[in-house]
Amino acid sequence: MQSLSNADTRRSPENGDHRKYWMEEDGDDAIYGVFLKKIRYRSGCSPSLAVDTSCNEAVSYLEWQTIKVKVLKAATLDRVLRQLINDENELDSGTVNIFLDTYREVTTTAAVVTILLEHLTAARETPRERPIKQLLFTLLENYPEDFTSHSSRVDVNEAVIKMMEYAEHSQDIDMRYRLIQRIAAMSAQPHLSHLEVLEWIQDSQPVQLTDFPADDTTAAAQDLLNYGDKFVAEQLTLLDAELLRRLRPHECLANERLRSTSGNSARTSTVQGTICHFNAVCARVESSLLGDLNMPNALRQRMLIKWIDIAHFLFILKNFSSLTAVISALQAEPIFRLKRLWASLPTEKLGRFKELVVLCSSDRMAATNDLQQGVTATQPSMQNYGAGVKELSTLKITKRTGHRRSHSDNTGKVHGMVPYLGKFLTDLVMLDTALPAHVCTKTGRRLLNFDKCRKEFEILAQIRLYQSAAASYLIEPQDHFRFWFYRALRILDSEDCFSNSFLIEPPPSLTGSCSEISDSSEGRKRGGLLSSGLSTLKRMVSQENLLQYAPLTVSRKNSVSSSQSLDYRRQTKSTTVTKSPYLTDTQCILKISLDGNTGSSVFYGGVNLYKSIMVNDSQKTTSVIRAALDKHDRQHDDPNCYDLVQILSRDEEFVIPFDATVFYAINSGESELKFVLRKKTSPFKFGQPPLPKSRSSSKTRSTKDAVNKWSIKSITRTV
Amino acid sequence: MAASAVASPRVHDFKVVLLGEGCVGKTSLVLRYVENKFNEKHESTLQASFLTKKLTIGNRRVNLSIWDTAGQERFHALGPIYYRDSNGAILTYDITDDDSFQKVKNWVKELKKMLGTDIMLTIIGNKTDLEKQRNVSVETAEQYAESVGATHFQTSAKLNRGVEEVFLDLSRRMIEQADKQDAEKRALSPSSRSTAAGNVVLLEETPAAPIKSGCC
Repeated sequence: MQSLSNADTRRSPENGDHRKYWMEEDGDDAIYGVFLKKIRYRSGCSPSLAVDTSCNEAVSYLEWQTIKVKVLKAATLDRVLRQLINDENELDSGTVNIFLDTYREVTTTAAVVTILLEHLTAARETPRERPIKQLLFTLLENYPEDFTSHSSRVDVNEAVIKMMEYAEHSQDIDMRYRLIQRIAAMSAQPHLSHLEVLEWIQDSQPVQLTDFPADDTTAAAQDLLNYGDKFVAEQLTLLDAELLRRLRPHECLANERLRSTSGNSARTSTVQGTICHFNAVCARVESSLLGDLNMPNALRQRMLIKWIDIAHFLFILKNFSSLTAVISALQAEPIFRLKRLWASLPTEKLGRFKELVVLCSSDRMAATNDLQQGVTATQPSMQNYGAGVKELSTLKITKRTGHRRSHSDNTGKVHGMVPYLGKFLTDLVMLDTALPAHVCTKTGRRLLNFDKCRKEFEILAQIRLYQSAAASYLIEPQDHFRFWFYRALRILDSEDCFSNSFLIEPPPSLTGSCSEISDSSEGRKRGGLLSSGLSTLKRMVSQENLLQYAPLTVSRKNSVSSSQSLDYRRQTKSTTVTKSPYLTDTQCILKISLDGNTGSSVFYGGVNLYKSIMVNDSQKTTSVIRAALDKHDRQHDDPNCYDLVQILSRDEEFVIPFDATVFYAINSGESELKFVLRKKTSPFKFGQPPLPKSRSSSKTRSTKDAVNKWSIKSITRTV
Repeated sequence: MAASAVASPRVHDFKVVLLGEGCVGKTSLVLRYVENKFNEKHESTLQASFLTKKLTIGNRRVNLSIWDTAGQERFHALGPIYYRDSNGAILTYDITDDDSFQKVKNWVKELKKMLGTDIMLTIIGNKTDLEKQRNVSVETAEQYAESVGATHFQTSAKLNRGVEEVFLDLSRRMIEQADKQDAEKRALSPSSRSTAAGNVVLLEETPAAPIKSGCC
């Protein structure tokens, strides 16, 4: 139903009347779209006329009439600027707003001002003089940042100088006076950008930063738990609302963003500020959950629930910006992969989380609904924001009676609304890509595509609506929360997030392989997190490529197999291993024994000795054999004298070709990747194992150097 | 969102997500492909973040919903919301910008971790019209794509080169994947474990069936 009403209003953006597209009218410096509009005089649409005619029923009257409506589609800059003032010498507010918000895509302030001053000179002492001046000052007052030079905020640019020159030259005292006033105001009250807002908020903190212990993440995390869910949501919303209110909508335009990111960094974009804040919220979520490796599982679980509950309140507060941030951070790989943590959540919380996820991903639908509700909180003064807003304001009128009351009654003071800005940015990129900035007339003249401006403005007008809605939040700022947000928590970068996540819960595929390795007749026993050696591990992990975590995590668990943690074992039940635990996308773990001459497995007095070798997807057979020999303390043996043989189920074997890439050559369908190294030339000597048991175990023990410490070793008794 | 319907002239509904650095031309690609979405008369801009295209491949009908995240590249950790439940991903880089290629590698890593091998990947080097300023060699990109089981294409959205092929190939692979998943579901025997090796790139044994495409 919503989409239907949208489509209807869009077909006639000017108002609800019937309007039909008729033709395109080409001028030399402009292209117009001509619409036919039917106006009824009897039906009450036009009250003044209706009253007149109803006085005397006998007199024939005009029932309806079709008029032509011309809409500017494209024109030269000069023509567009003329178009901003209508025949009655009034500013056409709809067109003016569109132009002022979008002109930076196609021209500069100086160019606009130059043309306007030319018009002004030509229109001196005529009724057109006033609206042109009015236009100049509207621009100057509403977009002061266009008049400051990029390098310094206090400096004014060419455009202002031109205006001053004009005022001097034409001896226009009034204009000169107003200009000086404006310039003084501009330098006294510089327009704050978003980044500056953030700095300003941070700098106004009463708490001395030096008083705070730098690395006390646990305490900071605990603080979060002590805050109420609603409180945190409100404080986050306050920051978001502040940023939104200070957003300069026209900076959302694709071209402008491109310009502000490349080069001229002096002019910090308010959009960039919003994005920074969004990312900061994400970082807080990730760091509070992953920052402290010593955090007990129960506490981490409480923290996760905390964020879900905060997200819930963000939804109630209609803060879709931070809601999206929290939900996407919880879904980001480092947190989302913590299967055991998620499995430990109460069903109710998990259900709530899933609901919120759906809400965020079907953002389009949500946006339309929110728009309606958001609009209910806006002021009537928004009406003159052009076509886009007019459409919204009709919505407002129709929805006000039904929605507003119930809305405010249910939630008390909440009226505000903060949308997720990314949606608008995508729409604007789409528009920018789809529509050309210039179009050509039949005579080949290059015109500014005003239709594009109009469409872009429709989106900017929505943002403006939200901006005014954001002003209606009534939340008291709490300095201690802001302090917590900006300073208290140690923020992890994404690398650290991953490495910590892998330490908190090792990859499931390798959990599986460990279970296989340490699986004995007594049952599965696992090691928990061993605090000693953790720092070494962490260092190693952070040095490694993400895909190479495998050997480290496995070995860590292996090295602590003697000190099992009950906690850990209890929780592993919830993880399920579906595919071969020895395989990842780029590497696999092979269990390689030395040939014990029996062909299928190696026995040394009942003990099957194998080494697990991590093989990546580029290793050749020789290097795998070399690695296996080294681990079996056969450093001096020549790998060329051995074959690598895979032991398949059903007592079959497969000799890996000598020059193969092992990862791809092996039969990966096996549930266990078992191999033997078999001497090529060695005669078959039954009953004489090359490595007696006693020697091998003593040697293993003696070579516990740094490298070996982290390799997988396991001696399993075969029954 | 996985392909549903069991009836024989089955319609596949696939979700495809476009990922990549800003300004590599994701939106140009998708708009080029679903061209008629943005004609003069189409005034609506709402719903723009998700465009649809219907096509027929062989006797299979496919509805693609293509999700574009353009403009949101700098929002951290936003990917999961978009690529969850995707059947395919198109990872785009700009051939003149090596950073954008590195970014593709990050996306591949993340997608593999999150979605395993269920998602079909296509890597695209866009802007071949700027061949003179090329900074990412074809060999490097192709080698990389092969190593992660992705298909690599070169396109120019500007000149409309190679765009159609990208979506056709991806659709074909998504159909194969859907068929494979169906087969696995049907044969719920434990022996199906042998297909677990996700890293093996299946080569097409038979030449592709005649392909028709177009808007329905």
